[in-house]
Amino acid sequence: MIRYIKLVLMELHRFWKIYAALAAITVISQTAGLWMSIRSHIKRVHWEMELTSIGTYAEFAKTYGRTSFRSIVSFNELFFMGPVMICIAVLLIYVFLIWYRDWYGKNAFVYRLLMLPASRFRLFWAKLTAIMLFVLGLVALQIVLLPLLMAMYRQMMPAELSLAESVFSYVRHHIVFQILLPPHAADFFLYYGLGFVAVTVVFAAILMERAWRLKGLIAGILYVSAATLVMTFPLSLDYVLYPHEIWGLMGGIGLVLFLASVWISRTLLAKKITV
Amino acid sequence: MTERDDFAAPAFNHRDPVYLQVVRHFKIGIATGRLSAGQTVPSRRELAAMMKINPNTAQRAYREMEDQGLIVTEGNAPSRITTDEKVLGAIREELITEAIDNFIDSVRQIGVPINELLEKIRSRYESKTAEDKGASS
Amino acid sequence: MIEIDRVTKKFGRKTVLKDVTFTVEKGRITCLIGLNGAGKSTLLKAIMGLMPVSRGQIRIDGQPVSEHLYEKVAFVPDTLTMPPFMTVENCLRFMRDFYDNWNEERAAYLLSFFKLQPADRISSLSKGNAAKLNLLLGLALDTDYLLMDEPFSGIDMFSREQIASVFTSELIEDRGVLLTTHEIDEIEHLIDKAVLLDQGRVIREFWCEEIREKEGKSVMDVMREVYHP
Repeated sequence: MIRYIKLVLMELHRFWKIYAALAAITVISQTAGLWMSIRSHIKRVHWEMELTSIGTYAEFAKTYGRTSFRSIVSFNELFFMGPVMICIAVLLIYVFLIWYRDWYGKNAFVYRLLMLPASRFRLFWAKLTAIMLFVLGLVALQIVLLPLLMAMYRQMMPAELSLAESVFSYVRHHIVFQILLPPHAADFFLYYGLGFVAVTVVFAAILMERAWRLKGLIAGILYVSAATLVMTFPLSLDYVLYPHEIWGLMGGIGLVLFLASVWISRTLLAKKITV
Repeated sequence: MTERDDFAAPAFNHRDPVYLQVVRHFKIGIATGRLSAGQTVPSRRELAAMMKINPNTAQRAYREMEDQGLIVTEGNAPSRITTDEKVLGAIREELITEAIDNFIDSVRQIGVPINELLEKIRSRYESKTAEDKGASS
Repeated sequence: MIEIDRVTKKFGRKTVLKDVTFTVEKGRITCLIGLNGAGKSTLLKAIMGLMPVSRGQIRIDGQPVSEHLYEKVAFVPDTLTMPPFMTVENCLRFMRDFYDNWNEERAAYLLSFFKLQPADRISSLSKGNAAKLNLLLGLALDTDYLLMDEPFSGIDMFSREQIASVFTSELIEDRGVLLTTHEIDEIEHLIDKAVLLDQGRVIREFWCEEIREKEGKSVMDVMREVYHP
C-alpha cells in the first residue's frame, strides 16, 4: 500500500511543472480576462453615458439594463474557456504520455518500473490515480476560482450595473461548465465516473499496443471503438427508456467496461508486456 | 602495502588454466624468497581481489596448493605456506628443472657442444650478476 | 540455478532465439558470448520477465518466472534506466523505497568506491559514471542472481578496470552471475563458464578452466573456431 502511494507521488512529481503551469494559466487568464472585460465594459458605459447625456449609473441601468457576470465573461469568453480547453487537451495527451514517456524518455525508466518487486498491477493503479487526481485538482481549482472571480466582479462593477447571480446558477446555464462542474452530485459522479471508465479503457488499449505493437495498436483502436459504441448505445434508447434508466444502464455498462479493462491490463502487464 | 605486492598478479595467459598459473605464481614466490616459509596467505576473497581473479579460481588454486602441500591449514587458523623443507626444496627443484628444460629445448636445435654451453652459461651468469649489482649500487 | 529451457523468441517472422538451453549456477560467473544481434540482450530481458518468450521455459531455483522474482534476481541493463531529472541520491532512495533487499551499506560503499556524487543529475553523468551507477543499482540489492548486459560496452578503460575489479570482490561472490559481452578479452580470466550463441542458437557451453586444461585453448580460441571456421 505504501509503495502504491509512493508510485502515485512519483507520478505526481513528474508532472508537477506542467500541472503548475496549467493551474497558473487558468488563474491568470481567467482573472485577467475578467478584469479586462469589466474595465472595457465600464469604459464603454462611460462613453455611452457621455454620448446620450446620462448622468448616473442608475439611469443607465434603467435604459440599457444591468450586465451580469455571465455577460461580462462572454465579452472575453476566450480568456475563460481557453485555459479550460488547454487543460483538457493537455490532460488528454497525458493519459497517453503517462505510459509512453516511460518507454521513450531518454532512459527507458519502464525497465525499473517493471522490475519492482510485487505486483506490477500497482503501476496501473498509480497512473490511473494520478490522472484522476490531476483532473479533480483542476476541477477543484475552478470551483474555488469561480466564486473569487464573482467576488472580483462585484467589487469592480458599480453596484447599480451589476447583477447578482450565484455560482450555481452561472454554472448550470453555461455550455461547458454544466458538464465539467455539474452542480448535482449525481451528475458529477456519473460524468466523472464515465470519464474514469474511459481512461481505464484507453489504458487497456495502450497496454495492448505495448504488448503487441502493431497488432496491439489495431486491437486497441478496435477495443476503444467498441467500448465507445457500447457506452453510447443507451443514449439512442431515449424512446424506450426513461432518462434515469438510461443513466443506470450506462452505469452498468461502464462497470463492465471498467472490469474488462482492468482484467485486460492486469494480464498484459503480468505476462505480455515488452520493454 | 607489502602484502599486496607479494601477491600481485602476473599477466595471465588465457590458454593455461588460471588456477594453475596462480599456483605457479606462488611457487615462484616461494623459490625466490618473496614468500617466506610459514607466511600466512590471504583468504581466498582477499587473494581474488589482489590478483584480480574470480574467487572460485582462488579457491581452486588454494585447494591445489593444499593437495601439493604448498600451504597448510591447521584447524581454523589462516592457511600458511608450508615450512616443510622437503616441499620447499622440491619446489625449487621443480622450477629450476623447468627452466633448464625450456633452455635445453630451445638451445638443443642450435647444436652447441655441452662444454661450450656450460662455459657460456657461467660467463653470462657472472656478467648478469655483476650488472645487477652495478645497477643496484 | 537459473534454467533456460528450450527458449525460443520470435519478433514477427524473425526468430531471434532458437531452442536456447543452458544453466546459470549460483556462485559461478557465466558469460553469454555472441556477435552483435545474436539475441543476448533479448535473452536477458526474457529471463527478467521484461519480454515474453514464444516457446520454452525459464525457471529460477525451480520456479517459473513471476513477479516475485525481483527480490531474487537483479538486472543491470545496457543503459542506465533512471529518468534524467533524478539525481544519484534520488535513484538510491527510489531503490530503497521499493526493495526490501536493498543494502544501504553496500550502496554507500559503492558510491564512494565509484566516486559518484549524490547530487549529480542523471542527465549530466558521463557514460562511465552512468555505467557505474547502473552497476551499483544492481549490486546493492541482496539477490541470489545478477544479470548484466554489456557492462563494459563503450566505457573508458579506467571505468572498465573499476568495474572489472568488482567481479573479483565479495560483492559478487556467492551470486550466480550471467553477463553478456562481446569483449571477452579483458574478462576471460574472470569467468567460470562460457555459452556461445550464434544466430540465436547455443553452439557451445563449457567451463573455461576445463577447456584450458583439457584442450589448451582459451575462450577466444574456441570463439575463433566457432565463429570463423
